Amino acid sequence: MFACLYAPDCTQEQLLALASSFSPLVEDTARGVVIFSIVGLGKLIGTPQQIAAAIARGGAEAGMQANLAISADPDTAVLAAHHLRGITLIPPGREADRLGEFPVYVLGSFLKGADPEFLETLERWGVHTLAELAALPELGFIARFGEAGVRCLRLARGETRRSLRVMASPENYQRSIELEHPQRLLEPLLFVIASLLNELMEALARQGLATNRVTLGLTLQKHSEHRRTLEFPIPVRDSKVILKQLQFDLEAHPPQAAIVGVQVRLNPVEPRVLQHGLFLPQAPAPEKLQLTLARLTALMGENNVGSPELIDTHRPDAFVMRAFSSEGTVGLHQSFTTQPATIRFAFRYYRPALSAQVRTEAERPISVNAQPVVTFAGPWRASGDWWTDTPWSRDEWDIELSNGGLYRVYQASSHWYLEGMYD
Amino acid sequence: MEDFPRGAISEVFGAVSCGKTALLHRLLAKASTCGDFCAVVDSQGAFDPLSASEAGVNLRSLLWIRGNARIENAFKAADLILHSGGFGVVVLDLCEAPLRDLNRIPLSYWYRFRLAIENTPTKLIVTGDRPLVKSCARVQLEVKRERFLWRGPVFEGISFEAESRKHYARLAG
Repeated sequence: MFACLYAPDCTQEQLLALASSFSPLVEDTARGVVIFSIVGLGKLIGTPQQIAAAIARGGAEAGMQANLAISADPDTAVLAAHHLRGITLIPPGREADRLGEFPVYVLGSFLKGADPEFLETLERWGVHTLAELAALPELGFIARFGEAGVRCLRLARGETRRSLRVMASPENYQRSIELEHPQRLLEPLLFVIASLLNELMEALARQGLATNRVTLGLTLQKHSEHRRTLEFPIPVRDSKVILKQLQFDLEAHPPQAAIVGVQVRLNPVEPRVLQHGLFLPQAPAPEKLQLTLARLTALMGENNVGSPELIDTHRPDAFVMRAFSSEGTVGLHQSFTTQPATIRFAFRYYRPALSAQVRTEAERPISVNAQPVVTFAGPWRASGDWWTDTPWSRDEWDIELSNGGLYRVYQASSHWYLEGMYD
Repeated sequence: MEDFPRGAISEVFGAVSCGKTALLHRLLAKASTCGDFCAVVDSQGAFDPLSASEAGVNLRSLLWIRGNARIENAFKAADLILHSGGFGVVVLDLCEAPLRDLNRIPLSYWYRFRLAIENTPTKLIVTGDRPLVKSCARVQLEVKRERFLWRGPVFEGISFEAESRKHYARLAG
């Protein structure tokens, strides 16, 4: 059974509040119209008449003037509430009888997108009331009017029997807990975080969502707070992946005092939908890759794990480390056609550059760190960034030493450095 | 380049400035242009993104783990990557690592790596100044420099040849 409240003079919030006080299943149908399920209220309140009286009392206490209709069919309840004043109870199976006296134009609000001449056609046919419409032969009517015809006939007969478009309650993806005793150890803390996280991930899963950001707030003794936020390049639905990353993060950034409260908040996003290609090469599974990258970062240190990106400058060894992701790079491979045939050497850096003892003769290097120079090329003068606070300038030499290695040395600010080796 | 088999360990070694890094860059370039994801575990932090890019490596599909000269960490990192799966080529670069550290590498590491990539499409390439993987390597290539290529005063490249220690095949570069 469904109840419909029609009150064009009340605010929508008032209507929704009244409906929500009786049922969690509420449809915000239109301005001034709400439908809600009253199934189950029989045990709490009693007969449909008693339920209607209770709703009417609730409306009166809120200072509302509204029409109320109760029916087994939600659209019948809407039509009755819209066009019949006061309280209307329509017993199951009597919908067509109760709606029969209504003129056909009351269906106008239900026929959005249908042929605008539909109602005029009915008038020309001599069909003036819903009872006359309901009596028409179904197959012939549908043949002439199609889907709109089906809907009209069902409305007139009170047989739509649709489900409510229930409003999704604004879910708060945040959980917190206060600890009975201050906690200093990571392992028991992770146990608490895991329970909150599982609860949140279940709430996300119920709404078909995933998360791309988790914020962990730890309330510390002396009322300070330790807050960490982790961003994920792709939406995650596995609580174990998040928990492990939180563990690595807390190990790298431990709180400075004992913990008395834990708060976990997730940012809900639509989950990732991906169609894999049959002939594409394999790529690391994103969830597993995130975990691996977190482990690698914990092992090697931040900024030592990622994908290098060259910077548009002549400054030597200029690059930035970007986060590595297996997403969104597959399509690039086909267009990447640089052929390496002409490149016949690679360079290996010493980071940082090693200080070198270079002996020169007639401004040419003759030995590096006491090793005689066999061949050399240079100097190659380079400079840049003179318009910034960090200008650089140097003379480079390519030098083959007697040990068989070919190195790059440079002189900057009257000091010599061994930058790396050609290999 | 097809001589490096999938699901097995290959080893490339040679003296300083012999061209082994250039050979590796070519391998990475070929793999990354074919759509494979590559990883470089760089024990000494010597990888040069610029020369790799000039060799044709697609840097966006390259994961670079920059080492802090601790061989043990490099092995742990390689182990994590191999077990996470999904990479076409994984390079473990041990060039210029101290001999004292290299001699301490337990042989069991190589067996573990070999098992981790067995029956997977991953190629594990180990590079160093000398052979390290021993019996666990299916391919062992020794790169030997023939000469440096100069055009006037400009260094142009390294002419090298790679000789297989196990298959007796030759690659020229």
